[in-house]
Amino acid sequence: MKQIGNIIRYLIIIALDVAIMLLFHSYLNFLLLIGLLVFPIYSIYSVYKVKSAFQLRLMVPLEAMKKGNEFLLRILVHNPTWFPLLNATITLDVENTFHGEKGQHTLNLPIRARKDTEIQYPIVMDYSGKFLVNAKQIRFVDLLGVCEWKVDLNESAECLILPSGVPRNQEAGLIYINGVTEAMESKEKGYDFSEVSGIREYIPGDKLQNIHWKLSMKKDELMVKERVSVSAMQLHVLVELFNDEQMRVDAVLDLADSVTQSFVAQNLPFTVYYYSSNLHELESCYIGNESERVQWLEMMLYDKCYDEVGIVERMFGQHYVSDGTYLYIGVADVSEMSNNMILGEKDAVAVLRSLSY
Amino acid sequence: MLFGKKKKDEVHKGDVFLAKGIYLKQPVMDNGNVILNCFLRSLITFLLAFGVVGSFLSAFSISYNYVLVIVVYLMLALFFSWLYSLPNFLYRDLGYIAFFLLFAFSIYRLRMYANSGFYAVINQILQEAQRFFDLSGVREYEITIDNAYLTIAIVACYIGMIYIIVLNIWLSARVSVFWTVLISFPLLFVPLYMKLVPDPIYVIALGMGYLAVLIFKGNGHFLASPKGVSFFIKGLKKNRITYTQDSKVFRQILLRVLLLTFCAMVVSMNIFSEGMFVRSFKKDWLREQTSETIGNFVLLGLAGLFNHYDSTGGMSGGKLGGVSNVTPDYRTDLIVTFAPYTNEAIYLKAYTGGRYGDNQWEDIYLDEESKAGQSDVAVFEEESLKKEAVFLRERKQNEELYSGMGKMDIENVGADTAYLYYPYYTEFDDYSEFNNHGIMRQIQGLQMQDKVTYTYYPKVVWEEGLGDVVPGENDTSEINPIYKEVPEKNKEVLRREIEAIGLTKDMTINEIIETVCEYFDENIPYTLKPGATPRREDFVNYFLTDNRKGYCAHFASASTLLFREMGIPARYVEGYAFSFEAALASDENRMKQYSDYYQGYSLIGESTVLDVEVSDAMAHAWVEVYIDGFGWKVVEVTPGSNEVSDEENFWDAFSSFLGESPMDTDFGMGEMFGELNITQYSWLVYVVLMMIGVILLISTGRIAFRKLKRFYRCHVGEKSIVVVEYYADLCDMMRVCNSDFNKCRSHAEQLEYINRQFDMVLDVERCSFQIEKLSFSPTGLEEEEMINLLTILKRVRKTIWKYASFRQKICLCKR
Repeated sequence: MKQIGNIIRYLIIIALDVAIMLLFHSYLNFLLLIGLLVFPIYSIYSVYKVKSAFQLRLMVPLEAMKKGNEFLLRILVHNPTWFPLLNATITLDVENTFHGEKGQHTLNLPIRARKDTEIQYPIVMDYSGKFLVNAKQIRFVDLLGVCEWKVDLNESAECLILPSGVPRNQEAGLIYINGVTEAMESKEKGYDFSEVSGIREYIPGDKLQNIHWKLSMKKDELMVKERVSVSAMQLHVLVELFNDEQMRVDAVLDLADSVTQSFVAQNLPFTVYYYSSNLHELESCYIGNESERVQWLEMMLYDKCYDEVGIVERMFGQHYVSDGTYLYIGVADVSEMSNNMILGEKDAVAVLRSLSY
Repeated sequence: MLFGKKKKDEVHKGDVFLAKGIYLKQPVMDNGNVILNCFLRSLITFLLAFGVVGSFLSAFSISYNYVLVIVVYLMLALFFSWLYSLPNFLYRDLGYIAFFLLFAFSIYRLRMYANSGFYAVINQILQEAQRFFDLSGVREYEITIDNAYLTIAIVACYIGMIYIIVLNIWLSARVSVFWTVLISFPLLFVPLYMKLVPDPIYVIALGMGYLAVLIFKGNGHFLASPKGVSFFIKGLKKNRITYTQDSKVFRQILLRVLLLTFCAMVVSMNIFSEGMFVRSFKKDWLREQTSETIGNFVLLGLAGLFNHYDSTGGMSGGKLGGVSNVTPDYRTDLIVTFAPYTNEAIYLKAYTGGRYGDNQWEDIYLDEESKAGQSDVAVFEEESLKKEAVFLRERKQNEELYSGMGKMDIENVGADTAYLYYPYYTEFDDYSEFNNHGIMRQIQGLQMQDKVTYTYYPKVVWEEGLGDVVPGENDTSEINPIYKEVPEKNKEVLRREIEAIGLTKDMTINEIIETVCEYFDENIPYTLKPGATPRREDFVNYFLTDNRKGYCAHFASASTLLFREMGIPARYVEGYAFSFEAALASDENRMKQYSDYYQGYSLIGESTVLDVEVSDAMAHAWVEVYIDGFGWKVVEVTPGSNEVSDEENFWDAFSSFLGESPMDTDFGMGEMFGELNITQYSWLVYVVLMMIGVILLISTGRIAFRKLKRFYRCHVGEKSIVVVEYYADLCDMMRVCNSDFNKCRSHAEQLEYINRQFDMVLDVERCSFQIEKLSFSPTGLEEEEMINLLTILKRVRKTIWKYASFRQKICLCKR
């Protein structure tokens, strides 16, 4: 529409010039007319050249950023031609892939000739996740504004935004001790978190609880589940990535970050479990140091949150059938405060829980 | 959660929302500093102003100080461009005021330079116009300062300044192509009409300017960025970021526009020369249609467009009433060589009116009835005062007292060739050879460049008692009755006028003449701009009743009829008259002997021979009355002029307005910044007061316009729209009174805020629902609901006004 307006305006100017030229026999207007006729050719040719030769790059920091901290998205348009343009419009899709929150945005910028045009976008993310920006399309408008050329792009850049939990060493240390103590007690009682690694025939001395009764019935001989213990002196941390409109998963991530930071700071090893929406299975990570912890966080943020409460505990229960104690970090209504509990924002809580059969 | 949301909104106030939880702070681009951007923007206004003014001057081959003009234009363009990049409107207004003061000061000090420069330009244009329209002569303005190279540059600076100010407003605020063209190009119509082509450099500058405006209009990114921000945030959802300006791309584009314009024009000029272009047109339709009118305009100014027939202040041949104003061109019409013998004015007779007809003094030769059986020669003899001339010659020959004989050379250098011009009382060698206006015999009149020598017998002293008789006792039997004739249509008006003047039957001829002259002098002002006589109105009647102002033709015509009505034979005469002072100001002709030019009695003793340049401004009309015992005598009935001289310029008028004599002002550059005193700058007070007045007027107008628009929006049209507009206006009032209102994000929050602020008990839920429904839902509300809602809103409006502080009330009024 704007282009049509510009074309009409330009035609009116030409008509006006021609009218004055004919009326006054004006050589001046004749010269202006030549200029008016030549310039659109240059103008349109310049867009054609630029659209064939330009390069667009999106750049974000390589390392993961902390939530709430400003980071720069650099948008760089390289134009190797001799033709500058006043109007190029880039359509950008911006997304937090972890939360699945999307937005569209357009940026209008000039295209300098034989130079880079760089725009710096200071971005702030309120929620942890993966920041993904994708340039879908760029539209070039010629100098007179009479024609527009669209070029489809698929240039993207991404950056991980980590939660910004504050270490809560004392509370976390206490909860760790409580958690491990309960686990030890369970073990002593014969309960231990173990993972089923295979099925074999019954060997005298096998625990009765390991007998796979259903299979034994089918095969008509005793079969037992072979288990590998996973509980030796470490805490199991279950992170619930349930999200709702209030974005409570972010508070959960902050709390998980706080608690796990504190564990690592006190050299307390733990295994963290979360449900991967991408893989549709429970993911686990043993964490003994900070780099492993960050790796886990990054891996988790590459995933997505979900809208079903209690998946991680259910999956954990399915995989680790033994009764035992674990640290659940998620959203829960807390009526009473106890030593086995750390409260976060927006009803986020880290609480010791036990599986029981 | 409401509080949590509010907190987040405050944290990200001013940020751009990209997606949920993702915000963009102010984007950054290295787009050059403010001054560089201003400079580049100012280049466009510079190119346009320089292109237009330069094209205009170069087309007329007027040279001027280019360096001065370029420097001044660049500085002015930069200054005004910078004003538009200031973050606050107040600073811009102050900038304008400061500049206006500077301008007023500079124009006051440089007025003579500007005046001379302006007249130098006008003179050059008129000369070109004379050539183009093939005019016999055009006026020429007097130039006080001869340094045209400087004075024209100064006037170019002032004209360019006006262009820069106006163009800058349109370019910096709106980027309007049409206004830019409309403001700048019309000046060039003048040289274009005269087929004058500007220098290529100015054409290139102009072409560049127009192209740059077209580019920035088509693409935007020209508007000055307030507070130096690099980007604007646009779009309904604020999801569009648009850069403001970029000096780098700006520079690149200007450079390319320059190159392209230069190349295109140079190539075009080489391929299609001006000659080729002009030859391609066979007929100049515009010139054919308009040259007469435009030529008349050039000759007479605006009056030329309104006059019913030409009058440059010269002869009108008895035609009356068609001239709105007389605009002499001050060019010499006649060169008269004579020896002064009196300190009275010298009259050169040319045309004699007979019967007063339809707004003209009819030519006696054309009407057999008017001639009353006389031959043309006899008519001319009576008209040219043969009897009186013979009488006076005889007196001279008899060496009687107060008699004299003069010789006068008259050369026609610009006067109407239809007439003879001769002094009182000339005796012609052959009365059958000459003729006057209207009938062509051997010689129509005094031809251009022709020079004739007349012998005349002036009546230097009038005898006592001549004319001291009442009109009834004046023997007029030998006079052509036409000189006693008064048209019926004028009689009533003349009678009333006679009563008003106080003329009576028992007054002598001299008393009547004297009374009429005095009356005119005291009651009817002289003016060169009396306005044309309306159609269907009689010239004399209109002059004596409605208009009651005029120039010589008015007074002479009215007096002639008045005298006739009083029984004195009288006739209307046109010709030239020059005063003794004008004669004294003329060049002395040392080649000629006094005795060759005058013999006999002289009121001023022996003088010298003078060459008097008689301009068209000295063209005149007067009355001749017949006095028994001598014959026809000149009666001057036109009062002296009290008008400001037409030669006085605007700046002198400006000075006189400020109470200062223009001639007292020393305008030398060396003393320009010399001694200052308070009274000298009293004009500044006027200027400031005027400026404040103008600003107040404009502001009031703007406020009134906004209020009117708002009233229209909130009261006229579809009810649902009216209610929504009313609510919007109410919110605007709230924002004016309390900026915190801006934080309210929904209708409900806004109404809650109003409740809190004014202790009101609005049903927030219902009202906000209704407003939202009106705003967004196609179904709208019931009529009754709308009326109720509107009543509530009106109540809120009253409350806002009631609780507003004095300052807030002023702000609300200013909205």
